[in-house]
Amino acid sequence: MCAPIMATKIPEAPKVGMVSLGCPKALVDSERILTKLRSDGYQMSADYAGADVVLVNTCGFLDSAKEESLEAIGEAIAENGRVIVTGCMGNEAELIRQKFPQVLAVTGAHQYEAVVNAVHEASPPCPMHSSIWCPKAASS
Amino acid sequence: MPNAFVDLVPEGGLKLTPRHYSYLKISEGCNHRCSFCIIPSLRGDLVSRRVDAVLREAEKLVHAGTKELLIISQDTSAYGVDTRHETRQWKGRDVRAHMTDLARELGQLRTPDGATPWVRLHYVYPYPHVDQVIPLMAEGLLTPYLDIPFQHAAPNVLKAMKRPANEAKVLDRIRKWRDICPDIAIRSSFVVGFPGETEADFDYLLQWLDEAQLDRVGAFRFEPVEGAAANDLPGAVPEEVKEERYQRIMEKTAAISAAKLAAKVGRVLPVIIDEVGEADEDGSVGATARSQADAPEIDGNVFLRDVGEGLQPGSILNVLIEDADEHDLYGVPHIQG
Repeated sequence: MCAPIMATKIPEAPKVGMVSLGCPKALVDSERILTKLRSDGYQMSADYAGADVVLVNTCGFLDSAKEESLEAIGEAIAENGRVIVTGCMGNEAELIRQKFPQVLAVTGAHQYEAVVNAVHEASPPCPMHSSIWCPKAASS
Repeated sequence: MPNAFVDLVPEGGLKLTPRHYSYLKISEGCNHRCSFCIIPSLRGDLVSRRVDAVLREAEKLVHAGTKELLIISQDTSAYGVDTRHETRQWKGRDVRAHMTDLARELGQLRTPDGATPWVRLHYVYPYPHVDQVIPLMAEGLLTPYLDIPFQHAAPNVLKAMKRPANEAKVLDRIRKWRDICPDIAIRSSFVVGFPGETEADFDYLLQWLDEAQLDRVGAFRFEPVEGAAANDLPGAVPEEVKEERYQRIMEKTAAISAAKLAAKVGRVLPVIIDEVGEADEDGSVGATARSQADAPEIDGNVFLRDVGEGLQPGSILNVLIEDADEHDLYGVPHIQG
């Protein structure tokens, strides 16, 4: 006999957008950040509109690349508003904050933990999820 | 704490590249202090990953559908210098954290259908031991492709860049590499208009390029990046001179590239498919592919006609090269018989 199942609304996982600039080495950093966030329960958003927070992984190798990075930050702020900056331009936090005081956090290249923490702070992961979907809890 | 979401992460991790190729980063940071580069100040000194961790990631990627591994770092040929090339166990073998050992092991990986994945080495600093990986290319364990930034050829410019200034030896080595592995594609990049670069230095570079016959070349106009030591060097080159030299090096390298690609017309080469097009009104389908000489994003393409049904991105097949231009090849699937 089947017991009636209570329909509870599962809260939606927060969605993260990613703008990855620069070389393949920076792209791998983006992949590692997204892999960590996915395992923390975040979903990915392919557009600005659907994202709860947008990460901009910047390039700071040449001045032209920095210009492009600043433009990308500006676009993400205009299109979404909730923006975290990471990557090679992260060591110029002052310049970034001066231009875009709204950015939620600025972290440097290769600082996976710092950027993941910044995302947690900006859009906390949903703790409900791990208890609902935990395969061990479901089988025991 | 069990983490349910780990199950949501694909075996090879989350990727931003198409399924059929993957970047594999083996180390972070760089011990060199090239005077134009601020990367060490952004990313620190060399820190190599454990060789077994790198190989495990490579194996996962290949199991998950990767057909082409692109080995990257800030300085690929320095891999393991910081760990004294620490040895780890992999598949019951001792493997050193060293570019040569890593390359040999990567060459043993097999895709689920038993094929050898393409493996490319990128960002290779011109150390003498780079010579050791060329035989692996000749044996088919490594893709015959070397991305090795030389930055310049004139000795005094290389010295000012704080780079190894043994360009004549480099030409000898390139010749030997081609003797061992005739199909090797060499990609490099160069900076023009570096402080102190004279007209004679630049001419020297152009002549060197004539000798070196590199397959793929990227050129950059020198930019003083905040924090770079080169900014304080005397002899700044005026912008219009930089621009003129940039145009000249591009012209030179485009001509070399065109001649090298023209020499491939009539040959049968393996290519990897990146994209399959829609059928046109006659029902024929084209595809965009790359040869072993073409890394994704930075090199050229092989444009294919009449590829037929059922081709997927990541498929590897032999094609007959029918035409060439400055950067790309054109071909058709080669039916054996």
